[in-house]
Amino acid sequence: MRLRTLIKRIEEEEFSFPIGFLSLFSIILCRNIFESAFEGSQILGFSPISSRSFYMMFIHFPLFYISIFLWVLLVFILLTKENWIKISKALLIGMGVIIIAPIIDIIVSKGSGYELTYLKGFGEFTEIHKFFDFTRDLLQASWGQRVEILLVLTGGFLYVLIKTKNFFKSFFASIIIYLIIFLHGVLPNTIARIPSYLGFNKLHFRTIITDGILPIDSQNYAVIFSVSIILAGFLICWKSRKELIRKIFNFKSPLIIIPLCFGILYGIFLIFPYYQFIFYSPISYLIFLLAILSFIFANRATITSGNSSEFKILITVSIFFSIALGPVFLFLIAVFFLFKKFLTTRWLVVVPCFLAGFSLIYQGDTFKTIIPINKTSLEIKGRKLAGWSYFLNADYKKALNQYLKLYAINKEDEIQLRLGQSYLNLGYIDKGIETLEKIREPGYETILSLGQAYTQKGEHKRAIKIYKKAIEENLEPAEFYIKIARIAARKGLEEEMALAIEKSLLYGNPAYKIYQIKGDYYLGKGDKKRALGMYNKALNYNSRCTSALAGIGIIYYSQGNLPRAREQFLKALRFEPGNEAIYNNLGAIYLITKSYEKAEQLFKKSIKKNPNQTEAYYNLGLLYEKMGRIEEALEMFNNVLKVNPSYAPARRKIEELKE
Amino acid sequence: MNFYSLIPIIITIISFVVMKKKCQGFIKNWISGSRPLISIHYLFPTIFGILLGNYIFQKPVNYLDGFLLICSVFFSFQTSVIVNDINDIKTDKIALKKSLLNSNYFGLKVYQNLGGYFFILSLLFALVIEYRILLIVLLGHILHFTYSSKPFRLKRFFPVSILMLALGALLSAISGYALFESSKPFLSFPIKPALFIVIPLFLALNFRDLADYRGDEKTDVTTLFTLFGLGKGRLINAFLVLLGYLSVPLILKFPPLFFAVVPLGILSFYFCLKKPFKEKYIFYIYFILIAILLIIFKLNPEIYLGPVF
Repeated sequence: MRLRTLIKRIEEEEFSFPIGFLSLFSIILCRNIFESAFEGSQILGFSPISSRSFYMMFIHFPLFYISIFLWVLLVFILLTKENWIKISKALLIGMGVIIIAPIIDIIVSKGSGYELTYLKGFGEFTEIHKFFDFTRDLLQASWGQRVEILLVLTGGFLYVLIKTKNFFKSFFASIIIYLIIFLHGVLPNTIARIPSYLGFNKLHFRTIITDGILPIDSQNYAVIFSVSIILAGFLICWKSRKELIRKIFNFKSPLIIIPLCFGILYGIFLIFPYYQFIFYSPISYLIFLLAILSFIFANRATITSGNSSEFKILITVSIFFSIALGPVFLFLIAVFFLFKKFLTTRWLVVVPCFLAGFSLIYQGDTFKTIIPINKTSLEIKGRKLAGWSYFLNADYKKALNQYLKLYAINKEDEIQLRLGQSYLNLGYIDKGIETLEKIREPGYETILSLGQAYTQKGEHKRAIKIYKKAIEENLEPAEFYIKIARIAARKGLEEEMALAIEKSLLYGNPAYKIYQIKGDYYLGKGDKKRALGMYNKALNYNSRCTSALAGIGIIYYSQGNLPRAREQFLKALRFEPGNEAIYNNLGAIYLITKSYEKAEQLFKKSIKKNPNQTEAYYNLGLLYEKMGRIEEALEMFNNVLKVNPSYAPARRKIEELKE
Repeated sequence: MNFYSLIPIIITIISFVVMKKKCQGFIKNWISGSRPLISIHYLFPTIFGILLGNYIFQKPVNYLDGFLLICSVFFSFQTSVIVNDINDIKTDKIALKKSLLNSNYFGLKVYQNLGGYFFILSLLFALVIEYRILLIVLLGHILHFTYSSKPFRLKRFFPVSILMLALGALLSAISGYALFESSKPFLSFPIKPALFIVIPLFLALNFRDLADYRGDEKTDVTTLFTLFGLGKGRLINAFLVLLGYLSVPLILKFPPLFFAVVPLGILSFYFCLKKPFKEKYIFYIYFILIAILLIIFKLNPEIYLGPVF
C-alpha cells in the first residue's frame, strides 16, 4: 500500500521536460564518472581528454542508458496502459539505481578498484541463463552490475504488479526488461558482425565496431544506440502520440534529403579508390539513416514553436545525434537550422545538407576535400581509413602497406605511430622501434608501444627509461609506475620494484595489481610459497585477476600438478580470452600430457593473438620436433630469433636440428 | 603560462564589469545573497586538498591552477545557491528567508540565466586546468542539482541531505588533490582525510536547516528539526555539532587537539541553543578550527595520513 502511495506521489510530481531530461542525464553522468573513476584500469572516460573519452562520457554511454530507458518505458506502456508521462516520471526515479553499481563494486574490491567487462556479441546469448546462477562469474558481470540489474528487474516487476495486479504480466515485464538490458549489451558487436554471420569473411570483421568511416569507436556505439532510441521513440509515439509522428514525418520538401544523399554519394565516390569497405559495414548504413533522420528532426524543429516541449525534444535529439555523427555534421546541421529559420531564400539550405552528407565520409577534412583539387588530401583520408581497417582486423601486412604509402606523403605522428605498430605486430621490432622513436610528440599509446617493444627485445632498462620519461612529463604516472614495477619484478630488481610499487600506490593503483606483481617477483625468485600467498592476496581484492590465476597455474605446473594448473589457466582464460600467454601455458600442459593436437591448436592461437612473442613459437617448435616435423620446427625456432635474436635456446635447437 | 588559462579569467572580469554597469548594485546584491560564509566553508576543503596533494606527491603547487580551481569551486557553489533558491522560492517565502530571488532584485528568468552563466564559468575554469578536474566539478554540480531540484530533490530526505552536503565538501577536497594526482584521485585520496571531512560535517551541518524550519515544515522537507520538533531538534543539533568537533581528534588520532575542539565545540553548542539563532557565529568558530588544523598540518602533515583503525 505504501509503495503504491509512493509511486502515486512520484507520478504526480510536477517538473518540466528540460528538468526531467537534465535529471536523467545527471544520473547517467554520475554513473559514468563513478564507473570510470573507480575502475582499476583506465579504459573508460576518466582517461585524459581525448575525443574518445569525451564521446564515451557524454554521448555513447548516455545514449545507451536513454535507449534502455525508452524501451523499458515502451514495455510499461504496453503492459500497464498507463499514461506515458506518469510512467516516465516513475522510471526516471527508478533510473537512480544505476548509481549503485559502481559504489557496490568499489566496496567489493575493498576500495581497490575493479575491472569492468562488457558483452562481446550475440554468441553470449546462449549463456544468458548463467546470469542467475550466483555461483558462477555471470557473464563476467561485476557484483555491482548484478545487483543493479536485479534491482531494476524487481522494480519493474513491482511497478507492473501495482499497476495491473497481474502476477504473470509482472513476471513477463521482468523477463522483457532483462532481455532489453542484455540485448543492449550485445547489440553493437552483434550488428558489427552481421556480415560474418552471413558468411562474408573477406575481412573477418572481428573488431569492426571500432572500424568504419567514423573516426572513434564510441561514435559507432552512439550511432547504434541513437537508432535504437529513434525506434523506441517511434513506437512510444505510435502508442501514445500518433499525431506527433504524422507531424514529424509529414515531410514533403526534397530540398533536404536529396542534397544530403548526393553529399554522401559524392563522398563515397571520392574515397572509393582508396577505401572500399564502406558498404561492408552495417554501421555505415545506420550512419546514413541517422544523418537523414537528424535532418528531418531539425527541419521539424524549425517550424515548431520555441516554447513547446516538442521543440525541446526535437532539438535535444538532433544535437545528440549530430554530435554522434561528428563535430562538422553538428556545425552543418546548426547552419541548416539557422538558414531555415532566418533566411527567406529557402533553396540555400541545400548547401549545408550537401556538405553534411559529405562530412559523414570526410569528417574533419570536409572543407579541405570537398573540391578535389589536391588529390593528396583525398588519398590521406582514404588510406588512413583502409590502413586502420586492416590494422583492426589484424591484417598487419596490408595495414603496413597502406601506412608505408601514407608515410611517403605525410609524416604526421598518428601515421608514424600506426606504421610503427604495424611493424611491431609483424615482428619487425627494430624497424618498429626506429619508427616510433621518430615521433615528435610521443603520447600515451606511443610510449606504451615503445616500452612493450623494448621489453620484448629484452632491453628492459631502455623500456624503464621510456616509462620514467613519460612519468616526468606527467603522462599517466599511475599506469607507467605499474609497468616499471612489472618489468623490475620479472628481472628480479627488488629495489626498483619496491620503489615503483611505493610510487604507484600513491597514485591510487589497485592493491590487486601490486600483489600480483609481488607474486611474479617471488615466483621469479623461486619462492613459490610467498608467490602463492601474494597471488591469493591479489585474488582477495579482485577474483578476476587473470595474472594471479595464471601465476597460481604456473606454480601448480612447476609442482607437476597438471590438472590443477589446467583448471587455473582455464579459469583465467574465462576472464581474459585474449591473453596469449595463458594459451601458451595451457598448450605446454597438453604438450607434456602428449595431447599434441590440442597443444598445437593452443600454441597457434597464442601466436595469432600476439605474433611478437618467443614462447609460443618456441613451444610450437618443440612440439613439431616431437612430432617429427623437423622443417616446421626449424621454421618456428627461426621465428623466435626474428622476434628476439638473442634467444639462446632457440639458436641451440636450430643447431641441434641441423646436425 | 598557458594562454587558455586566461580565457575564463578575462571572460569573468569583462562580464562582471558589464553587469556592474548594466545593473546598479549588482555586485553588492549578489555578494550579500550568495551565502559568503558557506562559500568560504566550501573553499577550505579545496585548499586542504591542494596542500595534501602537495605534501604527498612532493610537487610544487601550480598557483595559477590552484587559483583557477578555487574560482571553479566558488562558481560551482554559486550555481548551487541559485538552483537551490529557484527550487526553494516557496520555502524561503514561508520561512521569511532572504534570498536574491525573493528580494526581487532579480527576476526569475534573469536569475536562471545567472545560474547558467555561473555553471558555464565553473566548468570553463575547471576545463582549462584539466579534463578530469572538469569531471569532478561536474560531479559536484550533479550532486547539488539532485540535492535541490525536482524530481529527486534529495534535500527532502534526512539524513541523506546532510550526507550529500558532506560529500560535496569531500568532492571539493578531491578536486584540490587532483591537481597533483589526476589519474585516479578517487582511489588514491587517503581515507583518513576523507573521513575527517565527511564525518564531522555530516554530524555538524544540520544547523543549516534551522533557519528554514517553517518553510521546510510546510513543504514536506524532512530535516532534523521537522522530524523531532523545533525544541528537541535544536538540542539534538547542538549535541551533534559538539560531537562533530570531538570526532576530529578521534579520527586524526591526535589527542592534543582535544584542547582546541572541546572549548570550540562547547561554544558552538552554546550558540546553537542561543536565541535568536545566528548562523554566522557557528561559522566563525568553525573557521577558528580550520585555522588550527592548517597550523597543525604545517607542523606535522603526517597526522592527517596513516591508517584509520
